[in-house]
Amino acid sequence: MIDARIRSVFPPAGGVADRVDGHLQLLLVAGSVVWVIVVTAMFVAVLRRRRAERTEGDDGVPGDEPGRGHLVVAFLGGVAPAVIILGVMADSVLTLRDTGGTADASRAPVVVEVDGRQFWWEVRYPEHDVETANEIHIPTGQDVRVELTSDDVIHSFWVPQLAGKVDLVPGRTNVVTLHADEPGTYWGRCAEYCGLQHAWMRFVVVAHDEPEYAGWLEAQGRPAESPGRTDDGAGGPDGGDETAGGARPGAGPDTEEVAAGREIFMSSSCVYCHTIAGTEARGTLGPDLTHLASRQMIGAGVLPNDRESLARWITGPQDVKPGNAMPGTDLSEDELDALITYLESLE
Amino acid sequence: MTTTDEETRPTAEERSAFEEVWARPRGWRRVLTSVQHKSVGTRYMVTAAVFFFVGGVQALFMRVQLAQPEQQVLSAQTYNELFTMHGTTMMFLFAVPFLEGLAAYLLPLMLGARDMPFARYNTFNYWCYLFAGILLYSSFLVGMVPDAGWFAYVPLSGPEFADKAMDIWLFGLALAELAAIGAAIEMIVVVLGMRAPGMSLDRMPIFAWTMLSVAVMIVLAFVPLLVGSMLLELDRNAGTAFFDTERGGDPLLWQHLFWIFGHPEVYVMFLPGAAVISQVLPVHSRHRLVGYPFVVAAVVVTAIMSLGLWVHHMYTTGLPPVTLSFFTAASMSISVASGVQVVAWIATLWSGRPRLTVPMLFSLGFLFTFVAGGITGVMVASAPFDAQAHDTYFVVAHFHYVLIGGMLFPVLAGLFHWWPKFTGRIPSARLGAVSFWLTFGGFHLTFFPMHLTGLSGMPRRVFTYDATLGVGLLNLLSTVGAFVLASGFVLAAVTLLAALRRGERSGPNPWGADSLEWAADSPPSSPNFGRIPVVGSRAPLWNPPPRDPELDRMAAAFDHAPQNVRATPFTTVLDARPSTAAVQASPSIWPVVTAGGLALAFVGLLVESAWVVGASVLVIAAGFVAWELQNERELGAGEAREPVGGRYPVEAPGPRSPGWWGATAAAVVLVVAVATVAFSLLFLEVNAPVWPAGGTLGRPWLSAGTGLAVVLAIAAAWWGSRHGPLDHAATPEARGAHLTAAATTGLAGTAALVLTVAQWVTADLDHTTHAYDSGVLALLGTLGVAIVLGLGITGSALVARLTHARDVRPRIMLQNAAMLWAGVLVVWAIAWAATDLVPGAVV
Repeated sequence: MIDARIRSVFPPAGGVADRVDGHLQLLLVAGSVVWVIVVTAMFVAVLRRRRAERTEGDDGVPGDEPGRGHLVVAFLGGVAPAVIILGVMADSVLTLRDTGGTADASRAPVVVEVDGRQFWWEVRYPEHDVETANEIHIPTGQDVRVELTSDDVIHSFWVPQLAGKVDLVPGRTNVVTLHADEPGTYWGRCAEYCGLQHAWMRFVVVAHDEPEYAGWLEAQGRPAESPGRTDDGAGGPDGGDETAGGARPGAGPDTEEVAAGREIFMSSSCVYCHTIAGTEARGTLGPDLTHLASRQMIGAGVLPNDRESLARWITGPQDVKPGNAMPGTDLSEDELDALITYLESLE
Repeated sequence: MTTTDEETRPTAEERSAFEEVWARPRGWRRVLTSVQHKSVGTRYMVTAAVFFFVGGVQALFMRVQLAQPEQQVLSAQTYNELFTMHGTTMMFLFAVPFLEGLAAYLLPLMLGARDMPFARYNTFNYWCYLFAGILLYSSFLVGMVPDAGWFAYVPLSGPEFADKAMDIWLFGLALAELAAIGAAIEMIVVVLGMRAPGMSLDRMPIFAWTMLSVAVMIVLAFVPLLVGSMLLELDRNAGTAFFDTERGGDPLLWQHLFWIFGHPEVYVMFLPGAAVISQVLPVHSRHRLVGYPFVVAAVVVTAIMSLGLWVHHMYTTGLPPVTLSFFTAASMSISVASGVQVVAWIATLWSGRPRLTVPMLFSLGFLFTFVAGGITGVMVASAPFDAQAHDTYFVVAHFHYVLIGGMLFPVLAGLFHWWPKFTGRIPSARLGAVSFWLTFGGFHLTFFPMHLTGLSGMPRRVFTYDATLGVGLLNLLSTVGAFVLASGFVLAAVTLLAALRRGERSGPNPWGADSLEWAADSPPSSPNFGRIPVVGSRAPLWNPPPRDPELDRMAAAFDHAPQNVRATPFTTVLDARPSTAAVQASPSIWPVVTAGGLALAFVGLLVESAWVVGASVLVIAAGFVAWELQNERELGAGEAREPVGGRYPVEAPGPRSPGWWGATAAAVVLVVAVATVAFSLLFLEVNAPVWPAGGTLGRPWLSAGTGLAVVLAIAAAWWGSRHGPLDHAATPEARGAHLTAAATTGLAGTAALVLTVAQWVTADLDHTTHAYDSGVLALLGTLGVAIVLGLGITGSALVARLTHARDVRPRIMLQNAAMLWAGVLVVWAIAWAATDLVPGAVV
């Protein structure tokens, strides 16, 4: 599935990228034509057959020929490029008019806040009280207003198939409008050098049909399947079929191993940095893990989200992605298994 | 060169006395004291070439790492260090210094002069550059290699996210910038004042026009970066808040300051490359450059416009559409000027009879490549296109096409073209051609695929990429190409070096070229020209010399003369009519001592040792004093003051001596510096959500007092410079006036300094609390530095008065002091406007 993703700017998949595509192609074609003409002229100028030795002035050099030579330089060198440039410029400005700048909020009812961190993305849906990381889910066929901020260094938000880059600058809120015509997963990444692991600061944009998107939002808004026993007594102690938030159909029981894993999570340093809604884990330094198991990748795109990768990440995050903010955790094999089982239950 | 009947040729004794005064120092003295433009130029080029190969090896390591997806040849840390140092090295330690070296070597020869105007300062700049390179590379020795990119965006380069490596980078950069600004002043003065008699502006070689334009760009664009790097250093180590959003700063300010420098920088590298082509291509086409006036206009227009395009490096930072449209239009327009040059070269090829020599091959390779880079430049100038291409390998491809195609190929064309002039030997045409095809083929194999790599979604500055991106093959091609390219460079170097021993002897003009450097010996003698040539056309060696008695008189007066001091003709700016004799400095140890002291000061700051900093200040002060004393001693020697040929005075007041131009340029540098700080403060005020209300410095009397003191300094220096005869006599009244003037100027300047310090001390501001306070400190600090420089030149005027019996030299020095103090007054006015006038008016 991941392999099938197209990451190129071609073909565009909607919105800004669609509008820019025509301009992009015009520039590539016009540029190539101009280049071929100039280089051909150069070759002809060098290789053309010359009449027998020309008559030369007494100084052994052809005269200055101010008239003809100057006309050639002025018209072919000045006027002709100016005409081409004016055309290209006009297309650029028109494209800019259609795509540039801050999106109109009324045209973009869906608002997503994205906060760039070294080296991952915090994603919030303020109207729905949903928080996630490194995955932005959007409805198809609509403009989505993405508000970009950063608290550490400058990052840049780029989904090649949907829109050009917009930087995340500390102290500012920039806006990019995403618009996907078709459901699918679109690849995105940080495009401004932001430090050691800039190469592994990625994300995906997942576009859903409207009903599916609503379902996703609703699911993300709830605490996860097994948020753990909370102080208000909600949820069974162990093996219960239901939790206070209401189980989703088909959700498995909160097994002993899940409970053990939750215990490990809550009693270790994990909670200082991560939040799992509905539990006492309220850390904000790292990604929100409430629905970790629903995500495709971990570590901002560095590993697929499976048991083996989770194990590598938890025990040695600095081996997988040196310089990220997470310290390694020392766990026995059983503890690790339990912890991963718990994390995998957070759908 | 005709000799008039009444003129007497110099005798054998006169010739040997002339050669004696121009004799090069020998042994270790040659290493440390040589100041001649050819040694300095050669040193620049050799040092830059060494850094080029170092930067090239870094590139090869990066290409190996990227040859396949997810390789682990280099760690992320090492990769980030390498791309930071690759960019830094190629920009600051190779491209600009190499071109300055080429200009230092060629400009006096091309213009018919004997040396650069301030040969010791020229040498000082070289040493600063060398020490900057050593400082930057010492980071590898101490294991703290800069890794924030050559653009060093804050906050990543700021106090919170970068360690001491960044301080090494900033100080190294500052030293290199200082050298570049100094070299620019040299270039401006040599082109404006030291051209051969008769070489009016419209007869100047394109290379001279270009280096003049480039030098002006350097003064206007490098000073903001120097200031910017100092502001960042203050943020990092003195707690100021220029780039800190929490305290009224803004990280985008750094981007503006960096690209106000960074965009002109591109043209500072490309325009000299184009100028080399404008010199080389006509010679090897056996035809004059077609459309000379259009090419000159194109160069000047490019230089001016390049100062107003910097925002196109910031399209993605969240600017309003109207700004994006404006800079899109402006950035695209500049390509028309390049179009003019391209057509002029093709028309020259068309009209002439091109020979496929090695310089011609590289020139054609330049055209082929640069045009492609220019066209992708138009593409990325378009804001909507750039939003996709920005920070991807498409941009990497684009600027390597422009920089390797537009600067390095011309440099190689120039090296093969001028090698016979530099060394007296012709490099092998066969090996040269092979090296051309290797570099040309290797270049396109490396960089053409990167256009596609970028559009496929691979960003810059990533140490690896995953296989699913689908750019493994493209990257592999680039890596293979990089090694072919490197082999081409190595072969070119080997070809040139081998020619030193085995090359065919060339004689003065092996290519049948048209410009003056080919009239000198190969390699040129120490004074370049025994007899200064006179010029009557754009191609002085292709046309008979003019019949103009006034020019011939000057040439005759300087024929193996003067013999008691190094000197060259100084001519008028527009028409290059004979004016005066410009003295040229003899060997001196003090440039290396002072530059060493400066480097030591930076080292002291890095290791945070007050002792080292204190010692370095002493070394710098002692070095400059000794330097000045040596200057005055040489000029003071009685007979050195006699007019050359009884007609051309050795120095004269006003724009008839290099010093006046130097002082003017220094004043401009100061004004640009303070304008940069003022701009920064206004930028922050406009962009900050909260700004101190009523934010004036609020010390009107102290500020007015400072301004008045500076006015008094100007008036006193100017008054003093009006006293005394110009005919090399000495009068007691003038002596008294000069002493009074120097003392008054010095006292007034000291008062200004005290008042400036008092403004800060009494202002109740704390530079660590808010960017406004930081900005006021920086403005007053700049004013303080300007005043200290004014005091320095006033001291020099005093030294000149005390060491010279005659009155002309003190007059000139007082006049130069007045000029610099006028610059200080403008600095004061801008600082006052930014701290009091504008905030007062706004609030």
